[in-house]
Order: sequence, then C-alpha cells, then structure tokens
Amino acid sequence: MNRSFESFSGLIGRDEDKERIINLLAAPFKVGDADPLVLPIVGMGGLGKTSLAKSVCDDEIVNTHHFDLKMEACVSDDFSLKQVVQKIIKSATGERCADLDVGELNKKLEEILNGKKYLLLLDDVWNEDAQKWLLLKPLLSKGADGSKIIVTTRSQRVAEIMGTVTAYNLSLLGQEDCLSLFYKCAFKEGQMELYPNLVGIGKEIVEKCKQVPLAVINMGTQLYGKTDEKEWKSVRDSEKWEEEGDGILPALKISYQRLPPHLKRCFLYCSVFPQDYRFGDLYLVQFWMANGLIHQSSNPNEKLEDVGLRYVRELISRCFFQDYKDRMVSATFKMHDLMHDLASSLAQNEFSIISSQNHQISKTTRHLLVFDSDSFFHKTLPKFPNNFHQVRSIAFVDSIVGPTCKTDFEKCLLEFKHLRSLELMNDSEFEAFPERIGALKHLRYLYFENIKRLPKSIFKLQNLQALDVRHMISLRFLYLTTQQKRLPEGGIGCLECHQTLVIAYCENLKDLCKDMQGLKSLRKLVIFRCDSLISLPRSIKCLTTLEELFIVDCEELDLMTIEEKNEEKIQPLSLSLCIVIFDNLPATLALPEQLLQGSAESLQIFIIRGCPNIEEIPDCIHNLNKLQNLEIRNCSSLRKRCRRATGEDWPKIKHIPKIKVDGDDIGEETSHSGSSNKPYLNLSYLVVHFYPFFNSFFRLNYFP
Amino acid sequence: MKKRKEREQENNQLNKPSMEPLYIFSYQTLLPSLKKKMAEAFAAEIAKSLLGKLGSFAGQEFCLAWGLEADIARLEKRLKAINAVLSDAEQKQSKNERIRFWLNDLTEVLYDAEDVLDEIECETLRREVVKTTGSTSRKVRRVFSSTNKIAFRLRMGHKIKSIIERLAEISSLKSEFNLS
Repeated sequence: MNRSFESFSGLIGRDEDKERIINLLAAPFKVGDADPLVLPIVGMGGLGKTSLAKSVCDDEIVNTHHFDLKMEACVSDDFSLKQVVQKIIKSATGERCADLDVGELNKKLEEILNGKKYLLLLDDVWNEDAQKWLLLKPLLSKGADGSKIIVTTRSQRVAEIMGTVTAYNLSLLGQEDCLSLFYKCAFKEGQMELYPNLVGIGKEIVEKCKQVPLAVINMGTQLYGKTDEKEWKSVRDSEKWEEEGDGILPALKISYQRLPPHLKRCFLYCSVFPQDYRFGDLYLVQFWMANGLIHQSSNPNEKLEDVGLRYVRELISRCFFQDYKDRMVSATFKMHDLMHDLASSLAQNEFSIISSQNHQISKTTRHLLVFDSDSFFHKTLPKFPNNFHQVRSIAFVDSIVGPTCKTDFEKCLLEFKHLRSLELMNDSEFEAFPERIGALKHLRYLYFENIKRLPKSIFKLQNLQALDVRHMISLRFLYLTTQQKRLPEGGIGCLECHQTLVIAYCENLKDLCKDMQGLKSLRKLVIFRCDSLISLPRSIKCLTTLEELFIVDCEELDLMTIEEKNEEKIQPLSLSLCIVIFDNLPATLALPEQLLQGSAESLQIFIIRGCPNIEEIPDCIHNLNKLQNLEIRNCSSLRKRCRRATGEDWPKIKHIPKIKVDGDDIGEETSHSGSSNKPYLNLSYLVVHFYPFFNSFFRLNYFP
Repeated sequence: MKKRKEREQENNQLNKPSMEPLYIFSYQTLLPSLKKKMAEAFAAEIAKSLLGKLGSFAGQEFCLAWGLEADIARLEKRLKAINAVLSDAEQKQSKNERIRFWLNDLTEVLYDAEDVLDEIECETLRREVVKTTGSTSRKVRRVFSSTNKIAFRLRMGHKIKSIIERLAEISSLKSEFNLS
C-alpha cells in the first residue's frame, strides 16, 4: 500500500522527543534502580504516542543496547491480568496459549523472561487500578537487570501508578511541523508549487487541527490529489470544526462526512469489533457481505469480494485504518481508537455494547458486541425479551464459560431469528456447536475461534453436517483446520460458488478430496502447514478459475502427484493462475509442468522457496509469456542451474524481466527493482504469515 | 467507551496547568448536550439495495407461483416513491432534527422489509437445494408440501402488507419537510 497511514506517520517533528526517550532508556543500569524501569509516555489521543514508542523500539541505538527480547502488547480497555500476560507471551513467542490457566500462563511468562534483558511496550493503558498493576509487576521482574518497559497512556494517573521514572509528557506537534506533515499528505511530489492558492487554504485548515498530528494527517489525505479550490474551502469552512460536545476530533468528523455513503456504512460497521482489534481484510469483507453492505459491481468480472477489497483499500488510503500489514495471502490493519470512538458515536442507534456495567439494549439495536457474556445471558436476555428478533449480528468477545453456558447460548440462539452474523472471538467451554444453529436461516457469516476446545474438532462438526456441506450452496469462503486424515468426497467439492479455500494446520491430513473440479468459482487456494499431506488431487488442474495458488510448509507433499502419469494422453489445459508460490516442500522433486504450462498466458509471479530437491527448471517455463517475476530461494540445485548466462537453465528463464535468486537480482531490469507499484511485487516481504487463531470460518446462507 | 470518557474527564480535573492545552478536545466531553444525538441514517443506501433485490425478484417463477407478485409490485412502487426524496432528505438531516428522526423511523421499516425479502430469498434457495439434490426422506418432502407453501405465502403476504402500510404512514409525513 503506497499511501497509507504508516507512510505519513513517519514521525515528522518528533526527533527531539525520540532522542530524549532513547536517552532515558539507554542510561546505564545502576544498583538501586527500579527493575524493570517503567517509562510512561503521556498525552491526549492522536498525538502519536504509539508511533513514537514503536519507532523508539525499532531504533538502532536501542537495538545496540542488546535487548535480548522485544515485546509489545496492546492493553487498551480491558486490563485483565490473564489477557495481558497472554498478549505478552504471544508477542514474545507467537504462541497463543488459549488453553492455559492463569497459573500456567504466569509460569510460562516467567520462563520466557527469566534472565533476559527485555524491552516491553505496553500500549494504550487505561487501567487506573493500582492493585491490578501490582499483580502484573512481579511477573515482569524476572528479567535481567536493565530491562525496560514503555507504557503509553492518555491518563496522568496511570503514569503515576506505573512509572518508576518521571513520565514523558508528549506535547502538541509544532505548528511548522504540522504544516509540513499536512503538505506531505496532501500534495503529490512537486505539485505544491503549482497551487499556491491551495497552500494558503491548507495553512488555515492546519490551524484548525490544533496541532494534533492525527487530525493533520486525516485532513491532508482527504485532500490528496484534489486540486479544486472549492473542495479545499468546503473543508476549511465546514461547520463541524465548531461542533462541540462529544470529544471527537472535528477533523475526523469531516473526513467521515466526505466518505461516499457506502463507505460510511462499512466504516460504521467496524465499530462492532472491539477497540484495537486487528482486522483481516478477507474476513472484514465477508462480514460486510453478510450484512449486505457491498454493492454488486457493474463489471461482471469484479466479484463481491473484489469490490469489498476495493472498499478496504479506499478506507486505508483515507487513513480510516492504520497499522497496515500485507501478508500476501491476507492483509491486516487496525483502527485508531479515536476513529473507533467516532464510529461508535455515530452508530450508537444500532449498535450496543454489553459489558459488566451496561446490559441495556434498545429496540433499534441491530448489532451487539458482548464483552461480558454472563451479564448478557442473565441480565440482558431476560430483561429485554422483545428486542432480539431484529438483531442482525452478535459478537462475543469473552469466553463463554460456566456450567450453564451451553444451554444459555442455545437459548439465546433461539431468540435471534434474523441473525446474519455470529462470532465467538474467544474459546468457549461447550463441546459442540449447538444444533440450534440450523434454525438461523439468515446466517451468512459464522466465525469461531480456537476450535481445539471443541474436543471433537471442527471436522467432527463437519461430519455432523457432512451431508449438508453440499447444501451450503452460497458458501464462498472457508478456512478449514481438521484432525481427519481425508476430506470426504461430495463435501467441499460441491460448492460451486466457492471463492476462497484455505486448508491449514491439518497435521493428519493425507489427501484432499478428489472431486475438487466441482469448485467451479474457486479463485484462491491456500494449503498451509499440512505436515502429513502426501498428494494433491489431479482435479486441481480442472480449476480453470483459480488465480492464486499458495502451497506452503507441507513436509511430505510431492507436487508431481497433480500431474497425469501417462504423458501421451494429456490434453492441453487452459488455466488462469496469476500467482503461484511453493514454499518449503522438501519432498517435491520436480515442478508440475502441466499445471504451469496450462497457465502460460496468465502466470505473472512464480515463487519457489525451500524446495531443495527440485532438480531443474522445467522446459515449459520458457513458454510462460506473461511471467514477470521469478523468485528462487533456498533451492540448492536450482540456484546453480539458474546462474546468469552460465547456468544450464538460464536459457529457459532469461526472458523473465525480474529474477531473484537467494535475494540477488539477476534479471535484466535490475535497475528497476524496488520501484514497483504493485504492493505484492515487493519480494522482500513475501514470508507468508498466518494468524493461527483464525481457525475456521464459514459463510453460509442456508443450513437445513 | 463511556467508561473511558468518564476517566478522561476525571483526568481533566486532575490536570496540572502545564497539561492544559493537551485536553482542549476532551473538555468538550463535559458538555452532555450532544451525547444522545441520533445517529446518521442510511435510508437511501438500504432502499437502494432493497430495490435491487426486488428487481431481481421480478418475473421469477416463485413470485408468480406463490401469488406474491402483486404485493411485491406494490412494495416496489412505494419504495421508489420514497426513494426519490431520500438523497435530499439525507443532505438535510444534519441540520434538521425532525428529518433525522423521520429518516431513522424509515430506516427501521426498511430493515424490516429487508428481513422479509431475505426470508423469501431464503425459501427459494432452500427449494432450489431440495430440487437439485433431491430429498429422499418422506418427512422432508412433507415439510415442503403444498400446505406449507400456502402458509408461507399467507405469512409473507401479511408481512409485506404491514410493511406497505408502515411505509405509507411515513411517506405521508414527507410533505411536511419540503423535500424534492
């Protein structure tokens, strides 16, 4: 993403602040110092505390101070000890530890920190209860001398409770810096000189932003590429600047006001997710689709998913989302808390949050976010019996636990006759999903996490409805994790509208179903971490709509199982693959020539990594006319054979404009590398990461 | 969120003088006046998607077979009439509280209409599945028998009529707002 929040928030005018904080951190440890040192950074929302803290953590000087371990945890509204510890562990090791209890978690954290000099960033802390901090503090004192903690908060009180040194008060951004930040966001390079009239108006707009960088960035990006003076004036003269009373930055309101209506709605629906939630683009799009927010494109080739991703991109370029991370298969991002506040304030008619303090809902509530399922089951449900038939989406943030949780949950499903989306964001104690779910005939989006807690695993659930999968004719997106050895025929293969299929973390899976040809609309297929997978069905070659194929981390898989054995009988295939990635497939000895040849007119990007036993580049590569990018990494024999000019396989690949072997550009257009416009061509960031907590996900229209 | 706001207010009171400019916006949270303001309504967006849905229903076999076509046509007509003034109304809603309330009421009806249309859509999908994959069990066949068809038609017809009535009622108010 070229124009995103991150490209602007690159800390204009914060060098001095950064230096001072680094000096505080770099001061040598003296006996008698508090251990660990806790440095709070305090300031109102939108000043750039988090950006500053992150840039400090990434700074070279800090790095040379030899922190053995750097961690980051966003604490936000809920300061439950368990969750904070979980987040810290996840940041340190990547493990989610959903099934450990508090004692085990604490022990684990101690082991991780033990004797290590660490740097921890606790972001956006709101907890003013000193007791809670006193419970966490001893756990964090197991590190080596000189460990440091940075805390960002809006509250002086928090700083007083947690800090061991004087808090760093982040001031407003200087007027001059605000101006240069604004111009950087608002003008294309070299354009500023052409529009002296706009520069003047811009200055007045910046003054109204009251030196808050978040507001400045938002206003700047709003006006990016707009050269009509009227438009600039309408922003400057907006009455929203004067509007008082709800603590939301006026600049953000103006940004919102300027969104087209369909994006406004999509943005407001994001307030159903908790603060600091990390959105995944594919999931958010499915959620929007479930709620009917995405308009069918007039271009028949543009599917709803594509339109949705376009909406996401628009919202990112207008800085409604930030912290954007492109993971190749999927991208993730967050919403600034002030943006979240804005969305919640505008959506308060239709959205309700149930917490231990609030269990009210109104007749107009259509979307529910449940932080405290206990209050919800025992206070909200009995108290407002008539307000549920119109509810369309419900998300449980906490774990649903307790002896009666299953019946409670089941009872609650009965009430929601028009539910379109159901999310259980945390693990729940009941063993199998209640049968009642079948009565929710409007349900389009179903998401539950950490299926491990359903001891019979997701696939059991699939089996329960194995006959029914084929009835789910509207299913478009499925992320499947299973303990089974095989996928049954007549299941997934019957889903004719299916667009995206992810099969991941299936350690026992040996074969996929043979009837893959039934997936007549499949466009993206990801097979990831299937350690026992031996073969792929040949029917994959029948997927003529498939555009993206990712096969990653399958120890046993031999790709050649896709190919027909008797070569004489092959009919020429016509496939439409654009991107193919094979990563870490040690059991594969050769590349599937028929598959690649079949995509001769479409394949643009081909990446082979960690396949040391592939002997040679097949001849068909020579025929791939559209191929723009070839990357080979950690493939010992291929590396030799692809050496520029002298390698045996060089003649087969020399027509490709961009070739990278083990990080070195050897293609012809080396001078152009790095200036590519398309984000996914940025080959240095191709590691495919997954969020292991996205365990399963369905979109269904009909569940008999 | 409310909790957070309250804490922010407390912070303001605890503020040292040097911190004052930092809370220039948060001070506004002390004024409760706009806290309960009605949210922006998206009636036009929803109406648009409803009209799209109704358009796709037109001429479909099930509408005729279930005798719903007259009801659906009337609903469409009503919606189109209201839809014509919606963009004007939405532009005026930020200045005119009564228009905002009117739009919110309308939105409620539109949501209910969407639920009914989705129910009809669902039923067609279900029949399609049964038709293509076949149902072997007698029990299942009985569920889809003609009596059920009639019951479904009556239920839907009734719901659509009630929505048309509610729309008419809301529609009659629009003349008060001078919308074009």
